[in-house]
Amino acid sequence: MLEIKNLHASVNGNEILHGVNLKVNAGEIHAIMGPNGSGKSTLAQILAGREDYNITEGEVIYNGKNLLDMSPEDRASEGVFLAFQYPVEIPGVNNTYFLKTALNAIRKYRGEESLDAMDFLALVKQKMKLVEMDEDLLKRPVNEGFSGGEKKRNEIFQMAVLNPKLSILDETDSGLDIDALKIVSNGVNKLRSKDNAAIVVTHYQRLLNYIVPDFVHVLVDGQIVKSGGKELALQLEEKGYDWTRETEGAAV
Amino acid sequence: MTTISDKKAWYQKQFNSFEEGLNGQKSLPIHDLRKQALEQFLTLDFPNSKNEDWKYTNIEPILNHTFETSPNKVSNQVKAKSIEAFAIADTSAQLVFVDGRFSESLSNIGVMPTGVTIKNLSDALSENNDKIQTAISERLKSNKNIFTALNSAFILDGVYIEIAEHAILEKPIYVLHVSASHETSLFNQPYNLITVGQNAQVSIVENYASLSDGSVFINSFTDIAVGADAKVDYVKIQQENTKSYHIGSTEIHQHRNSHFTHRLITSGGALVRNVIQVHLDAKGIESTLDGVYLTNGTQHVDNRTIIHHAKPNCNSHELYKGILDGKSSGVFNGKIIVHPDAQKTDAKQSNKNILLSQDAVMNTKPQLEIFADDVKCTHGATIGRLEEESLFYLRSRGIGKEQAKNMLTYAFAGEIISRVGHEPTRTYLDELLLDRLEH
Repeated sequence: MLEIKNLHASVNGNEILHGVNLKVNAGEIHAIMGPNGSGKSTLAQILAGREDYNITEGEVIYNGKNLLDMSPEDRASEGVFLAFQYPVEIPGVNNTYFLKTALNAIRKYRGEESLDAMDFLALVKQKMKLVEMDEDLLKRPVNEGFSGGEKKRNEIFQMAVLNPKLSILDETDSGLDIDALKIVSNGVNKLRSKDNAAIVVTHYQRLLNYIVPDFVHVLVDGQIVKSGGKELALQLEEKGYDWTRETEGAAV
Repeated sequence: MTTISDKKAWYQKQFNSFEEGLNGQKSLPIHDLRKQALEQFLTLDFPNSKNEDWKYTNIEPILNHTFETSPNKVSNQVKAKSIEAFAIADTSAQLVFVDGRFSESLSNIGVMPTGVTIKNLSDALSENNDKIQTAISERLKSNKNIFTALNSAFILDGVYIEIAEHAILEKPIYVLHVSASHETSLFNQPYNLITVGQNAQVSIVENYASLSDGSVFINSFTDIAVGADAKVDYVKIQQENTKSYHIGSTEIHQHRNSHFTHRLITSGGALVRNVIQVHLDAKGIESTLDGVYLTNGTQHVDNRTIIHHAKPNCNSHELYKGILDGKSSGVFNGKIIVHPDAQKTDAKQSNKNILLSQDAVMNTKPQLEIFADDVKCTHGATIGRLEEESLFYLRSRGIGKEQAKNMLTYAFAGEIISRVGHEPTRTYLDELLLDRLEH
């Protein structure tokens, strides 16, 4: 589904990613772990189409297409979804209106009929249950005045409604208490299927107790230095990121 | 027309033909005031960029145009169907003016509750209404503004609204001005006199629109007196075509514990200047001035507010928001004067702007003059662009760039529109805004 080949990216002349390689197949969940400043969020943002980064080398192939050539909206329509680390507050734009516009834009791109108000509402009600979201939040402007937990739930709720093929969860666990973490993870797990894939970006192993990955990759200083199964996350938790730096030298 | 005296001679000539058309109305006392105003007009100077108040607004395009005075009789060319697009539902009365003249056939005033008088100014003048004469002669005494003098010289039509003590009109009065002339560029000088008694309540929606692509110069003046404990909500909409010029002055006097709101929505016009002056003449007054302006092409919109806090314990709130695209330009000048007597004044002023293009220009200037020591005055002005973060967020959900921009722009302007209390007016403004953003 997704193949990242030797991706180099810089911002303001500073290279942040120094050749990232990653292959994600349908049905898989990949965790990307790494210390602060390792380039995890940069990678997530680049995949979603953020224009602030300069791609200096490499390519990203998504379902046979060059992902980096596509606008953010086309990527979303092709099934890429980024759950933001810091969801943006947009005063004056109603949450329901926003989501309906987004869904219908994606449906239009795919040559599908627009959903009318009734069908949309039915869909929304069903998906809200997944993340136990309060209906009042739908009537409010997008993320405005939402608590940290409510914002993250809103991200997963949007994901549920838009039904992406490739979900990228950027530090979805940050700022969540254990109850909210369970709710959010539960939502993600219910959306899991053999046809879609997810990349879970996280600093801590904690989230991976709830969203169990098939593969764990360790990103340090803009490169994946170690890959393995879910047990790698536990080793990291125990030994810390410095351990990967040590073994990196040994592997060469 | 090359010289200033040529330009004034042009208006003198227009006055002569206007006067000829007045017939019997020439014998009314108001006519002496017209002549007095014309004299004043001839002695005053047209402002230029050397004048601080006109630094960013060049009126040459108005002066270089040969606008003719509107015929004194209303044209019957405009049919009800032509103004349907400007209809606002659920109002208490509708007064329609075509090229500045009252159209009885398009208007609908109906039976009003006791204490409510609504009529066109021309009728009120024929009845020898001394309130109008007093207002005009008071104004001329100390007037230094050439456009005010011009307005008074050509005074003939507009609205006359009188709400007696304790009278309440629930639904708004709708005043629609349409310009319809194709071949001739016309000027018209509406004058509105609105008097609201103690404890009375009224709301008014005034709308300026074009039915043709002809050029028009509107020089309007509105006088509003808000009685003690009274509540007045005023909405002014400017959606003329982009060949139109509009200079509007509104002067408000508020009395004890009264509430007044003025909301100004400007989407049309080549050159628009609005001056709103509020006098908080007693204690316990609430006054709100809001505005939103959307400009494109080479439009120029100049908004000027002056709030006189003359007495203690009054609150004023101002929020003006601008969205400027193309090579358009805007000016905001908000003056707040807190007089020595006005302790415990709370004055808040804010002007926020978004520039959608590289070539759009905004000049904003708050001006506080505070002569009391126990006051709260805050002001702020911002000029920015649409937030990239927000734009990316919307796009990452599949919403195209243009639509995402429109959503954010709409949200920015919508804050003002959402404050309009009358739901059908709000809907009308929402549609006006959306339509404007799509073109």
